[in-house]
Amino acid sequence: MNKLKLLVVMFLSLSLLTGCGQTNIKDLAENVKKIELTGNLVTYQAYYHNVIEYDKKAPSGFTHIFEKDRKLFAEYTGTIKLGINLSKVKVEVHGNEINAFIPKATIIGEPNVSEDDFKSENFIEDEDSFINKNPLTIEDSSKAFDKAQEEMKNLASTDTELLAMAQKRAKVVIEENIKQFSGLNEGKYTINWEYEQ
Amino acid sequence: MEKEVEKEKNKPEQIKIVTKNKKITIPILSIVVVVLLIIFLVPKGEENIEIKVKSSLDKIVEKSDLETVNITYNVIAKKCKDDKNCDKSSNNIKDFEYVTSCKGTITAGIDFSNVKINVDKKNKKVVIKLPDATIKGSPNVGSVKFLNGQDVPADELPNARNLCEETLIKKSKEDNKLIPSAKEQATIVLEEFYNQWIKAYDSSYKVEVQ
Repeated sequence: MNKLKLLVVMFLSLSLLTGCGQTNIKDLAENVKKIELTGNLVTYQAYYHNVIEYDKKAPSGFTHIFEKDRKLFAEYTGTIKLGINLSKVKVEVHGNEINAFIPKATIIGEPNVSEDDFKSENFIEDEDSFINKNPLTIEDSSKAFDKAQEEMKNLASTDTELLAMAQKRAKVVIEENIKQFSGLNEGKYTINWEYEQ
Repeated sequence: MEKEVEKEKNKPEQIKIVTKNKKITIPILSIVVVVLLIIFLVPKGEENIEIKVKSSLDKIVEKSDLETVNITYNVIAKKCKDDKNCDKSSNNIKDFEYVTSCKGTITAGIDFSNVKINVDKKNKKVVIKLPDATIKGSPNVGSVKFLNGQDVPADELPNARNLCEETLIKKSKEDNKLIPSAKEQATIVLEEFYNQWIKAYDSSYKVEVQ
């Protein structure tokens, strides 16, 4: 009887040592479901220093005769955030295999272009008409600013290298989420990654 | 009767076996108890977290390409008509021999070997302090576009490219948003990562990446 008690104690001790609070593989699916997959995950903030070209057409009509089309150029800076929509992430568990789908990265929010860069003293302009003027106004500065915002959006949304980097970083964060929520050592499960192209 | 006699004969032998087992199991049990005590009673110290943060940082830096960042850096470069008498702040394009829009790329890097990790046990906070980013190498000059709307001799192009490179270097050095932005792109992902990572140790802890 004593021998039996000793064996039971040893077995329990060894179970504790080897388990160390690890959950069972059958709990993996339930644990992974607890990962919060809502909202956006920002993984990259790109900085741009860019040049904008803004065209101002000479208005038509008698009072605008001899006015010329104008051009202004300005350097502007700004940042734009990239990341993934977490609601599009799919994590499915089959036994000890996890299939994870990472959506492609997109622009998150609006670009943050510096308004200070659109002060007239920062512009370089072509020469105005000698006879009838077509001056560049505050309204033109504002329009140039809007154009810069759009331009930055286009630049970031077509930069495949940058978008791939943002997607790759999202994978690293999701992987850590799975690791924490699984309750298992990494070697006890396999993650198969699928990336949206 | 015969059986009882046999039982009696076997008794000392049984005691012998149990005593022998005790001799083996007591040291094993002692080892098991000591190991369990080490695992459960010895606290996970600050130093432990610090080491773990450092080793996980190395992995995430490699996996996420955090060490270098390529930044689109396009500038306007102005070629003076007379270098001795030139107002570069003029915003009239006619005041210059030519003005170019230069497409460029700048590479900035963060030296992650200089990361400092502080564990504030009182406020339950792990602070990861990244070093400032630095500009690596020379800027890469891409296309050059003349903005004057007039033809510029083809042999002027190499000079225009040199002017672009000089302007890129000068403007990037003066740009006080460039270095913080290069650091920010790494900070964003590290914060997301460590907010999950720290849960394995103590969910009451917060991680701050500076």
